[in-house]
Amino acid sequence: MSRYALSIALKDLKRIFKAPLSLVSMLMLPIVITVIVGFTFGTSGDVKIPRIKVLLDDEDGGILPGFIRQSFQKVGSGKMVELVDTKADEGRRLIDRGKASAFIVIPKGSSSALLDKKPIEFLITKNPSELFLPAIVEEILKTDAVMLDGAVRLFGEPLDTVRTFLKGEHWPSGSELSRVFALARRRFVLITPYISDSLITVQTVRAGEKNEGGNFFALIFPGSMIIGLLFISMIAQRDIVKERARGTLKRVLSGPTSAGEFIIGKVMYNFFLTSISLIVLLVIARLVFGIGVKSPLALAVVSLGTALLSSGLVILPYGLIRSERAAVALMPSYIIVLCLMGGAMMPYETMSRLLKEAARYSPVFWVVDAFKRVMFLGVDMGDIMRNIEVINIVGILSILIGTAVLKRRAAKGL
Amino acid sequence: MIDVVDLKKSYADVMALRGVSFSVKEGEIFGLLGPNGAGKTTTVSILSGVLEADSGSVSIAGMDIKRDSKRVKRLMGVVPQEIALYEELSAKENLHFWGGLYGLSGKDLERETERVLELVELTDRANDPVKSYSGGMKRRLNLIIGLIHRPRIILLDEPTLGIDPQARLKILDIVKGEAANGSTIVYTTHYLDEAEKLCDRIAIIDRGEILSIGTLAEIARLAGEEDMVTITGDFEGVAIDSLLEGARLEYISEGVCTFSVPERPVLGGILERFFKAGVKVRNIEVKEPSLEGAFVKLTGRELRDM
Ligand SMILES: Nc1ncnc2c1ncn2[C@@H]1O[C@H](COP(=O)(O)OP(=O)(O)OP(=O)(O)O)[C@@H](O)[C@H]1O
Ligand SMILES: [Mg+2]
Repeated sequence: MSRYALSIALKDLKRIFKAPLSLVSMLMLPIVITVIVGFTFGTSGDVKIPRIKVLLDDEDGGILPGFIRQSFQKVGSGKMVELVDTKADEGRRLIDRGKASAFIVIPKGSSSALLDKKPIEFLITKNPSELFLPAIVEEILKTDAVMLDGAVRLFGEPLDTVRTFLKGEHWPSGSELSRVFALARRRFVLITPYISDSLITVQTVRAGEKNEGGNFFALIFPGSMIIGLLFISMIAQRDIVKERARGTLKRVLSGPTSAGEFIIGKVMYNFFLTSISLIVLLVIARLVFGIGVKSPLALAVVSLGTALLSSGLVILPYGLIRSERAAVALMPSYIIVLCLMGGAMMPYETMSRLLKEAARYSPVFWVVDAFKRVMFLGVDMGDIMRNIEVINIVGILSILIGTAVLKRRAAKGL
Repeated sequence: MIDVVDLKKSYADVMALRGVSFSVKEGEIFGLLGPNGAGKTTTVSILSGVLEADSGSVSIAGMDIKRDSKRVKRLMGVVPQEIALYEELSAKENLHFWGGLYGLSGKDLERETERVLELVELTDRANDPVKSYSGGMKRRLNLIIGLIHRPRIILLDEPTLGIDPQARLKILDIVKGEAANGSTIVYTTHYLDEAEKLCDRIAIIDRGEILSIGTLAEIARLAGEEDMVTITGDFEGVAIDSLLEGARLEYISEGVCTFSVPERPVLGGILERFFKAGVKVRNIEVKEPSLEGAFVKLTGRELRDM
């Protein structure tokens, strides 16, 4: 069966290589997008992300601020965030003058309120002139909040466990947390994967490890990259519609080749193109933007999944579209919506809460998130398992559904 | 070899086939003759296993087209009505691809490619991209792709469409050659003369129905061993029936009537009565019994009117 698929993929490659110019311009697409976006955002010319300066007004002095301090220290091996203790007035003055990225106030009595399962609030003031950095701080804090909330709810008895957590004596492992969260209420379970992922992230970046610091480009790179890859897939897979309109699909299906094999051939062809583009992109990321990667394995696995997902996401609508004209008209909007929703156009960190919730329903989010974790936070395979799962499952499902749709339509003569 | 039983197929709002049945014997050239929109392509698509019928069955070489789809498809060569080629690739590359899908490889593939290219005299241009070919050349390539794997059963859907008369004859010869080599052939066309020249048996199809099946002689006999006369004129207010004594009215509409007459003198009498009745006759056409006559009789239309 793979022999037919392989013939189809090779034939398509042969066809595209007959037009080298369009091939090159297609493969350049993600690179062009990334470079444009990169230089638009990085006008300062400074490609290294600066250390995030966070002001902390600790009026509580208990275990809660201890936990928060620790979470900031864990991120980027403590090199990414610079935590400065201030008093309320001083802090407000500094943030107003743009001297820091964020100002956090932890009110008196927060720790005991937390242990009594009473609602607590901490205030974060963000520097409005900065885009990403305060968002990162907010993200870390929110993760802390959800974690604490979960921990207190679930470990309410015995509180000792919570206390060890909060004192930072014992950092929970991923599996410990998963076990705990598995017991949680449904609403909570829904966001668990992200929470435990965040935790693991924090956990795996070991103190004392050499850290190059977050790279600004690493933040925008994944989004631009997936936009570009989806556009490559869009162009490459338009052949499905063309072949249907021109009768070659019918001819293929009148031979011993099945619709599934036809699609697998297309996926292989697409996979090859996106992989080449991705490799070029990653080399550029390394050489031009200085984005280093700690775990090549994690990068490779996410990249493979992404190439697959990228084909799948376009095969699905192409199964439904009949004419080339409709394909040309509809597909770019479809891709842009997916990317906008998934936080590939504007950074996820800067999206509103509602949009952030919505983002999780765009598979693009999981790609961007995974690449950010791998390239920006330098995490390992284990920390992006959830992403890998979502990416591959959605990729394979959309390929399967796309195949079924195409098959059905061919059989019905639609 | 091929048994088609009561095929029905509708598209969104068109009933394309309304119960089509026929059988094709081994080694036979079977013609499916019908005007545009008759359901020829729909029938061929179902036979080739691409399109699903709403009901009815197709068995080919004793196998069901749905159940044994893969095995049946391997036996068949299909030449679609559309020119289904990869325009960026050369004739040779196209043949290599399609031949490969039918399991040919290596020396066999090379040899068969050369064979079919020679068949339609495309060897000289075999390495040029198809998009640089003329319409007729593409049509010829479209044909040989369906023949490259020496299929036992060949389905040809109007393979001579838009091709010059000489090339048409050549294609008919090729089809005859394939039949002589033992292949079973289903050939659709809307050209009467092709059906006459080529086919052992013919089915006349119109509006999704088979109107008649048989050898050329059998179908012609259906039209009766009679001359078919078509009179064009102004018969308003005239009782045509009474004028047509001795003849059989086949078809009548505003200003045109067609009837068959057993012998010429009868026609003389009829014409005399027409003149006496003061009917303005603009044209008289007499046709000897032929497939065309049968066709007109069966469909009430001339094929070239469609
Ligand atoms: N994909 C389709 N969707 C809707 N209607 C269709 C489709 N294909 C064919 N039809 C309709 O079905 C009927 C039969 O079409 P078909 O193509 O089988 O005729 P044909 O005999 O091959 O005609 P032609 O000589 O023009 O090729 C026609 O009325 C046509 O409009
Ligand atoms: Mg047709």
